[in-house]
Amino acid sequence: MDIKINENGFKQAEALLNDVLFSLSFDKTNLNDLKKFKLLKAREQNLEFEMELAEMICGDNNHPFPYRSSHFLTQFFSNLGYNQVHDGSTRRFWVRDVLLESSIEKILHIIEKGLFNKQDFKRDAKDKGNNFEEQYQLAPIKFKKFIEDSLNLESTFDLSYLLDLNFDVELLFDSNNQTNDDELNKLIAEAKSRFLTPKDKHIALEKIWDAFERIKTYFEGNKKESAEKLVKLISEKFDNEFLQSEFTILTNIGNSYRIRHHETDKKELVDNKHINYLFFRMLTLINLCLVAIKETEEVKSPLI
Amino acid sequence: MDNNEKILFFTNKLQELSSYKNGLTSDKLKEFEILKQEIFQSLSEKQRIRFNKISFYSEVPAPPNYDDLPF
Repeated sequence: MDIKINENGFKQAEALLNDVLFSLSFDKTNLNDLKKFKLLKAREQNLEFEMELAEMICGDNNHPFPYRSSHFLTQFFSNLGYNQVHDGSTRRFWVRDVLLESSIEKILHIIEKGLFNKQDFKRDAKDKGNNFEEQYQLAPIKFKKFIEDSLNLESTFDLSYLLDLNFDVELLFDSNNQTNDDELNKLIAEAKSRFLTPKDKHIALEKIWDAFERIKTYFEGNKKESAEKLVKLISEKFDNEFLQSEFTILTNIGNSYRIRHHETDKKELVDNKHINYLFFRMLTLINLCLVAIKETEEVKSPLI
Repeated sequence: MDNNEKILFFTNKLQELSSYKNGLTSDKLKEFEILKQEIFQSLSEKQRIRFNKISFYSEVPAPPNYDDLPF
């Protein structure tokens, strides 16, 4: 079997390895290197980076960048010192391929000296009857957006947005601490489950406060003795006074607001942002208790 | 590998790769594929995606054997 070497493929690989070498050795105090590095990050994040840049160079897709015909594309690269002659193929694909074979250093040069070449903008504005200043000011804005969009393409989708939540969901979903008290486990599980349904948030708050009152009696003896033992346990290598105060404050909140008690003198919680705040403040404290309890005793059953 | 070792590694691999640009033949394909694998393994996830899209060569079908034709 014979093979046909794809020279362009080798050039692309050389560009890639040169980019790798650059990212390993760039000077973090050098502005030019920092520009290249940001550009490289955009290139790595955006799989269509070269194509989108090619469209700007060609002036396609209503870009504010000057339209470049076959002749002007060849001239574009020639003026930058590159021997690239347009072969008559579709312009943007041809430019994309040239860019794929270019290291990030070359791409920065193409952008700085070529893409934003003032003369080309003047020619294009004249040809189209546009205002040169306006067109020349719009181009950097478009380019900046292209870089920012490229860098943000890999952002993971935040599920909390979908659930109308704006907090750290890890505590809610991933915390895996069961105790030997089934009633306590049930209260915590129900509180978490209810919290995911917007209309049940208030019930969730009530359940998590019930769980707090329940966990205070986790140890033998009366409620006060048990609570003190629990605070001592969670304060190990930490600030006992601080956590004692947290217990007291949250107990007082439970007594003052209409969470577990529904007398008319209790303050109403009407805004979800305050319910969210109190729920997670309490859940965080309970989670700390659960972790400490788990560390000190054998857990009866694995987590839900 | 520390940073300097990585730089040395990729510099060497770049040279090795370039040496195949004009001299890759079918009898060298096995060693070339090993080189590609070595490079691939050392790249980050994003760089691997870029590397995987590269086509270095294509196989040229053997010319037809006219003796096999039924006419």
